[in-house]
Amino acid sequence: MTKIDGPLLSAQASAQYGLELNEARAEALAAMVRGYLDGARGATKALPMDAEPALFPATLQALAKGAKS
Amino acid sequence: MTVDDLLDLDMTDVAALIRRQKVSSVEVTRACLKRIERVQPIINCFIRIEGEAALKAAKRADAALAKGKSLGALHGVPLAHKDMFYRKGHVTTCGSKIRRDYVASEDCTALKRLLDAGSIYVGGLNMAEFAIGPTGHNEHHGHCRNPWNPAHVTGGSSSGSGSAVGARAVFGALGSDTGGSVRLPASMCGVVGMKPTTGLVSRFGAMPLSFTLDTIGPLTRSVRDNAKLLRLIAGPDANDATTIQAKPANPEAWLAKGVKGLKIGIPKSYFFDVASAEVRALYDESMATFKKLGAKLVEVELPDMTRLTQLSNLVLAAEAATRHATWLIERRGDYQEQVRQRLEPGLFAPAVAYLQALDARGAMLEEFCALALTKADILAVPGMPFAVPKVDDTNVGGSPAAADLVARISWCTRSANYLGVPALTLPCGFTGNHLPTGLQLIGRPFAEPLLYRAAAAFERELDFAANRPPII
Repeated sequence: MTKIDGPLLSAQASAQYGLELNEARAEALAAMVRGYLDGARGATKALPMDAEPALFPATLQALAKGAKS
Repeated sequence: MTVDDLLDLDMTDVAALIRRQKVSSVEVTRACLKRIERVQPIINCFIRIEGEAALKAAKRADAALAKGKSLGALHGVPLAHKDMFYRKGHVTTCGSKIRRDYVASEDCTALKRLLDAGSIYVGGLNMAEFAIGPTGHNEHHGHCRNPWNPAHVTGGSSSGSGSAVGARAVFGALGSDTGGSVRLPASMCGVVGMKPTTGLVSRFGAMPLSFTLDTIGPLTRSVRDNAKLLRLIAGPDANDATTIQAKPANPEAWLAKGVKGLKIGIPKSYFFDVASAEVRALYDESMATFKKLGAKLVEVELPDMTRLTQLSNLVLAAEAATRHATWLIERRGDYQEQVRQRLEPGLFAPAVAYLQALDARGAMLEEFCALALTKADILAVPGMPFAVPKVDDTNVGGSPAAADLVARISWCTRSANYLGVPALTLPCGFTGNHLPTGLQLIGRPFAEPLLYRAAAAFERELDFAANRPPII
């Protein structure tokens, strides 16, 4: 798998948004994107196939029922 | 009553005096304007002061009352709000250069509800540019400063809300909280701040930053004031489909219940990782106070909070960059360097990773409640992990130090937005630099009344309001 690095991100920035980034900034942004991917990958390992954002309000309501009055 | 006497009252007391015609709205509004005139050059808490319009509204409030008409629970009470809540036909700057002259075409639901309850709008309060920034720095409108010591930051992004309420210049303010933006200024300015459950308060007509994480909440001098403002702004709104459909519980009804038998969770991990020794000591004292009041303290496990913060950052980055994408390309020079650098990474967040972060939210909330909020009714953690820093020491602009500063300041606040749970901060004492620090109480979804109940008991014991900022 291609690792997202500075040059790759710099090319994307230029092609997609017309932004010219210096090398240090491109490397910093690439590190952040790798962090995003890592975070999402780690969080979704055990997720059921039917998890989806639209269900979140129902989860909030369901878990509210355990709250003490 | 002198100006100081009036302004030392909390919102609930001053509203009662106006209602009973012991004092007029004009007198109270004049007192606020006088205080604002004195403190604004020192703490820069306002972006725009609308004194003349406020006095006209106060006169109308007094005239209505003289005819036996009451407009509502906040009849004639002066408030001011973070300058990102729209009023049709009026300028709302969002703390930015880009929207310096933006005239809104709609009314923000939360703000309108406070105006419909009879409150007086005194002006737009300072804020971080587009609500991005945890310190209160703003190069476009001037840095906002802390009323307890103007050399120090206010916290952000609702910097003016914390600063103006802390300086007793207004009786309450709305802020927004996407990663700590109500709770951080509340902690640093010695006031009470509530980030409500996702969906409890309509976001219609408020400047958006992150569709998933944005919430609107009140900053006030007392817990009861905060509960009152939340009661007034919460509930269904036909203009915001993400708002709850049912009428929420009245949090004011819970304030006198005390904490006897309440189980308060003390986390075993994460929240103290970057906390200073003095903040930890104040936290321990706070827990001793709760124990004295009859609460039971229980140690609780937590899920991987670092992961939650990572996911929160990803969601914020993608959604904020979506909102700002056009300006980021066409008006790059009109952003502060730090704000632009914080927005830019989101342009490159992969869509699948972003949606995975959203997918995981429900499971993460279930895990959090199972671990942290089963043995305990509420969780207590610091609001801000270390003493309030100086403006000059945190003026890091877009340097590499900025990301570290943002991460450390918002260490204890960021996860609640991803989880969608309510979190309240209230003052719990002073650090060695004589600035306030806050205790944060976190609950299950829609447990706001329980948080107010615990906070009210703690507030009665500590009586933090007896301390006055030295500048007033």
